[in-house]
Amino acid sequence: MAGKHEHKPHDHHKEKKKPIWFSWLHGADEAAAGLPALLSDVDKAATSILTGDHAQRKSGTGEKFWQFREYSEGDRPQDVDWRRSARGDRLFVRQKEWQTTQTALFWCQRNRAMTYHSRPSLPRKGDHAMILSLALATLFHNAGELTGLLAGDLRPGRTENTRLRMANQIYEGRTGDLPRTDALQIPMNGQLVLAGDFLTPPELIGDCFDRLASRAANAVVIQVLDPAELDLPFAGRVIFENDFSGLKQQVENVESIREEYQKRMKAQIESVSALCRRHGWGWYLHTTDKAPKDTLHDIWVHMGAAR
Amino acid sequence: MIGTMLGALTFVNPWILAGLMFLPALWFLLRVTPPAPQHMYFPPAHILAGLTPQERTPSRTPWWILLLRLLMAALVIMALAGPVLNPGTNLPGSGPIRIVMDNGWAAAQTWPLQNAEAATLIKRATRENRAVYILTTAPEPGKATPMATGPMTAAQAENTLRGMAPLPWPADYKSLVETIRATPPTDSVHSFWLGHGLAEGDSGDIVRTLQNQGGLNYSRPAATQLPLLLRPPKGAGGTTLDVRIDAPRALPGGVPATVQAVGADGRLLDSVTVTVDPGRLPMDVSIDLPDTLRAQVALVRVGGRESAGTVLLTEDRFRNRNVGIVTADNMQETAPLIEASYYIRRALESAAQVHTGDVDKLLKHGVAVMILPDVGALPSGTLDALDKWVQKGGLLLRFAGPNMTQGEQFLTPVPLRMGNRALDGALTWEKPVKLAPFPESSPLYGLPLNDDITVQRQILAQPVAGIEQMTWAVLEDGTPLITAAPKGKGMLVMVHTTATPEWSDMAVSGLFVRMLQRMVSLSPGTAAQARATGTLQPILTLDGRGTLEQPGAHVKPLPAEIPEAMVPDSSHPPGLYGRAGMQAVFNLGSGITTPVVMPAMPVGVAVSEYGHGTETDMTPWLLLAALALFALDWALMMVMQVGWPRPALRPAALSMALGLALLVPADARAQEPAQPTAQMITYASQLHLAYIRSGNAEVDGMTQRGLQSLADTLTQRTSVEPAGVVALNPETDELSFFPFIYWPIAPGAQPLSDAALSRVQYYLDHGGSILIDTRDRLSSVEGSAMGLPGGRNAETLRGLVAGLNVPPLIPMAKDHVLTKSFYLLPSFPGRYDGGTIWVEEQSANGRDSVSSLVIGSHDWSAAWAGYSGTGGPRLSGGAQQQEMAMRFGINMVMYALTGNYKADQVHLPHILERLGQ
Repeated sequence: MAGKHEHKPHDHHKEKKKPIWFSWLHGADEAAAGLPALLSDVDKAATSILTGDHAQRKSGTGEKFWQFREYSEGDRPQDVDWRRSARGDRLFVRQKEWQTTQTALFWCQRNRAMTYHSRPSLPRKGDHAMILSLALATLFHNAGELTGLLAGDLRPGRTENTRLRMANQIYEGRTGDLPRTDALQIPMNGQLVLAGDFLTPPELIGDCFDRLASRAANAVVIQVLDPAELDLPFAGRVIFENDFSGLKQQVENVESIREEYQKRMKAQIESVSALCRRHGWGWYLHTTDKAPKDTLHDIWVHMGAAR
Repeated sequence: MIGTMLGALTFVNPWILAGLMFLPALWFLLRVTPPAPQHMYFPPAHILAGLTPQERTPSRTPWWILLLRLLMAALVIMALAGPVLNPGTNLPGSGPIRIVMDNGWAAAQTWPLQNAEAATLIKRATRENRAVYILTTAPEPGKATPMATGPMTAAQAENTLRGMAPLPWPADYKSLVETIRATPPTDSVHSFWLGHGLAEGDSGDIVRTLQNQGGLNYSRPAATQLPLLLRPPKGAGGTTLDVRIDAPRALPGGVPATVQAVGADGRLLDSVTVTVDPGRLPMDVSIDLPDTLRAQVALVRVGGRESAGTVLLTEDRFRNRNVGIVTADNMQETAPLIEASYYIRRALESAAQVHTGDVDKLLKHGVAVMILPDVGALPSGTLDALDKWVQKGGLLLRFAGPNMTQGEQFLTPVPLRMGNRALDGALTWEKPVKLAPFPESSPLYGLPLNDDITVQRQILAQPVAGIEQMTWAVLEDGTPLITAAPKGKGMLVMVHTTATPEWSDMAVSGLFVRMLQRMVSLSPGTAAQARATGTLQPILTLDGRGTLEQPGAHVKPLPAEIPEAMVPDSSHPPGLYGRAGMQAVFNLGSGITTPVVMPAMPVGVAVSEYGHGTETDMTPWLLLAALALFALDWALMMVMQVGWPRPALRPAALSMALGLALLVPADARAQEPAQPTAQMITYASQLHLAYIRSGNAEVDGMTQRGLQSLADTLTQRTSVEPAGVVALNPETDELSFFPFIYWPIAPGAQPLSDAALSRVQYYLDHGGSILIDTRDRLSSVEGSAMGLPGGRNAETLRGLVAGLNVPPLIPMAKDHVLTKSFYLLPSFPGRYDGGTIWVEEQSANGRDSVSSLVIGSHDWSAAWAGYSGTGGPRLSGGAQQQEMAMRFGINMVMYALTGNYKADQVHLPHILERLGQ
């Protein structure tokens, strides 16, 4: 069991030493029990959307057989289909269909901020972010596209195995508040899916998005928030803390600052969506009191429209 | 006042007060610690940064809470420092200390003062870490030397002190000096002599010796607190009860003393309050008591002063009286059981010396009481001698008999009639008569009467003027039974029946013994000429506090002739000594010399009075104050913690805190509101089965289900269709709507209040039926003598209905209406089978022989509940028993509704038959 908690090398960036509760919160028990439940949620969400395939109906570098044609100068000998050629005197080459496989690279925020839920009855932000990410990945698979992780050594693929490994890595992985932008390996025409709360100051988000945009044209940003983060429904004397620069914010009378906070929050969301618009990316706001299915549907529909 | 109090405050451990220096630090710490806010992890917390709330709740502890806490801390620190109010000066010297405790007879009156002083001394010794010796002045019981213990630690010394008590004899200074010298301490010992103020001999030697061993302090009570001494009167007793109060001459005037005369049974007979006049010591005090009361005085004491010195056992009560029984001749008893002298002798043996013989012989013996049983005629010379003897103070007690039927007039209190009055003869109609209670004026007043004493025959007194005053005992019909009249200094007493069982049962009753003893003790007494020789054994002795107790093993007998000047000592405490027929009192006051105060102490001895500067340890009070402040702080914090974030909760929290503090038990059942009228109409318009709530949820639930099941079955099988089941609380609910009430008894149920009892009584009196189920058949014992089932809950039942006025209960007869009111039933099983059902005796109630109460122990409701399968217990008799239980229920309801209707109907065939003829 201890092996599960060893941090993978790519998880160490930006993160401080994790507090004890972290390993408890993401303990092996929950990992064992939570992931299958999440995956079933993922499947439920994904199967609610029917997909078509993206076959291009012309020969190319796909894996599916497209047509035989006569051998000509320059063809590789290993491409000769000997069975077909044996039928006659001519040599035939087996041509495969040309497929425009896209690679979708996922980034799903996994840190303490994503374990937040304002009420025990609400799911954690991270859970919904992950469900949305993996459900999208499933949809991409179904559409015959490759999925992978933005960070990490997982080779993009489209098998069930890939999907499970993605799920595992997302589930057990730890990220910062924003995706890292160094050493990016983004294939051309790659599709980025970024799920997180994007509550860091807009300048940081803008920086990060700029760099990502330089490598990938297409991205979808899913901002997952708890309803309490939008409304600040607390009262009285509260000390708020988060991991962002270890801030402890003491508020004497929460009611009196609620409106101001809501304004600021709106501005934050606004700035994130503005950034996305600037890059031509898709931006979706998901609050944890909504069903992931609905948001997923929106995303998928818009993505289909965008294509 | 307060200033001086504070000025007199010192600390045992003053260095702990240095802790007060940390109070400013505490102030700082407390100030920066506001009441804890809510902690919350909130991812967008940084977005809140810089937002300023409009209204600020106090972020820092309010100054007054700070002050409270600092005060609390200061109090605790000060308490730990061991503050002492009014501390004594430090003990002199540096070695151990010795407490010399006066514990002779006089110490009992100053004992609390001495004890408090000793406790203070020991406390101080503790503080200074010094060993303690304790020495007493009076010899220990049975020993010749006083107690000397030590060195001891303070705790041991405290225990020893607690075990000490004043002794009823004087101190022995000689043996005290010897004791001090025999065990000289190795170290120099400073002695504290806690005296009672009196010198009991030459104290010079002791003072010198103690001084030589390391110094001496002498403490004495204030002059007004000097001990008193009660002495017997100088001369022989007159017509009043005389005592003398003695005291040291140093006693200031105006000290009051209440002299109390107490009977043998502890009754206060009379008391006189005098002011002790130091100029006229010893001072005579007389208590004017009627003769008859005076004879009952066992001891005289000074109220409020518990000491052997202020208790005087009276000679009178215990005086040795010679009793003479006049027999016709000098012959020995020939037939003891029919001889009067036999009964009289047996009655008086233990109390007096009894002589028998003719009058002349007895007069020679010098008897104080002469008893003439059934002696009529006497020679005139003898009569004269008797008359003279009575005039001189003799008590002549005469019993009637066949020989006295000639109308005696001489030496009888009242003239007698001729003949006797036979109440139980063959030719009389009258029944033997019992004794009436003794009149209050009678010296026999208060003696317990046996009911079985009857008088069959008596001699009647001539009705003369003032006979009521002369009558000591009367029969129920008012005829005098015992008459008495004074004659000269003496007294004539006539018992108008025999001293044998011949005429009355009196002679064989305990009353006879007590009566004779009391009458004999009335004798003024003529001094017994024949002084006994030999020794007197201790019977009762006085302890140091003047309480009579059984003598300890150390008490030695006294010579029969107690020397006038003998003073009680460790082997002879004051008290009552004697042997058969002979008793003597040995009083402290009779032999002891006039008390004198302790002479002035030589130079170098510090003399102080008690009651100045008693130390008070303030530690518990300070800690208590700190605790109170803590509780206050806690309550405040609770209100603030709960109240600040949510103002609406504040009153609730406050009341919760108050509720916790007061722990007010709330009885929800007692606060049920009165039923609305609509409900009453429902109850009145339809039949409801009802049960009395037992307070036990399990029992009530079972009863509810059982009655519901019974109601269902009734609806199914009979024309009785109950509308429902109602639970009643007799304390609050109206019972009259329900013709039948089932009352299960749960163990430990509270007895009904008077209001509820009267409600139940009203219900029963006005036609209601109650089936009481004690539900304890298994634990009951058949044939309980109480006439009620004697099971586990029977006691509860009795407690519940003790105040109910119901006819006597009898086991139900085999042909009772209950056996046939609907079904014909041979038995009435419930959960348990067998056992008796108790109903009211039919002839006793005025309700057409319908019993309002039916009492059983079968736990029927459980069986009924099981009938409909709603969760009753499994019955041993199976379905059969369940059916029978249900049938009983139906019968019971029918019985309650129709009364004895079925009983009549049973005879219907016969009636019809008769009509037809």
